[in-house]
Amino acid sequence: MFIIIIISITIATYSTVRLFMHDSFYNKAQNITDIDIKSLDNYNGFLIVMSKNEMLNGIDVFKHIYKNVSTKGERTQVLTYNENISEAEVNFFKKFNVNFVPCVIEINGKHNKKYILYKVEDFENE
Amino acid sequence: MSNGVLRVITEIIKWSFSLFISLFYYKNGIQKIKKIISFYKTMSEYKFFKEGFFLKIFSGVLIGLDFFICMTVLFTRYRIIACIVGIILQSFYITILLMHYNMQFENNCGCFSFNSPRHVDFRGLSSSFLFLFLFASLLFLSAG
Repeated sequence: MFIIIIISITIATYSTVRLFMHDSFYNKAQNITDIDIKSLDNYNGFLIVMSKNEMLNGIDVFKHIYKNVSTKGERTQVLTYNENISEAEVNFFKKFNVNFVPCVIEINGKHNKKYILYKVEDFENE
Repeated sequence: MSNGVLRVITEIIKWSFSLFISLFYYKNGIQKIKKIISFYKTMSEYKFFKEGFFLKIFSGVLIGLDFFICMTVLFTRYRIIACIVGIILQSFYITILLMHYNMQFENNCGCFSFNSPRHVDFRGLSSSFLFLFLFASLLFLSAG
């Protein structure tokens, strides 16, 4: 029984630590995407940058970027995002009239990181 | 039917229930660990805790309890404890689901259909009730 309790507490602790780590990754993601928005200024369309880091929550970061970019009046939108898109997240993006067209691009920018970019097309232009 | 045969049938039922519960809770626990942020967001939408410190710890505890049940239910001498914890856990989830009946949650990824479905309907509730019934039956059989 002692071993079972230890294993359960370890799993609970691991899960909790991962949740607390999410906040620090989230803050880092905001910084990275803020820089990358500038490097992608010439891209004529909408972009979603997917981070391979599973700690990030797409909707939160998207809200942050969407708010910041739209207030600047730029057309390019960048998002650091999870690799696995859930049904709820896709529905969330559809509210912003965007669609997903997957394409893989490697960016060797300041952070020398590889991103998966998702070109997002405006429904109104179709 | 003789007592011996009845005892064998009871043992088979107990082991079938235990294995089913264990496998299901293992699968469910792994899913929650894999998509921990989604699980946290799902829990935050139930609004029994504010998003933050306590909810993070509570989400971790819920996942830990899944694995606790998954393991203890397989040991005959700890099965009663597993059933009691399972009944408390299922009662908690059922209370939450009943409080949000017929509601749809936007931040729920839809990946935890068991105990925390995206749309709380009869189907979502029935699986939670089924496991409550399984725990109660197993407790009755084990204690008897």
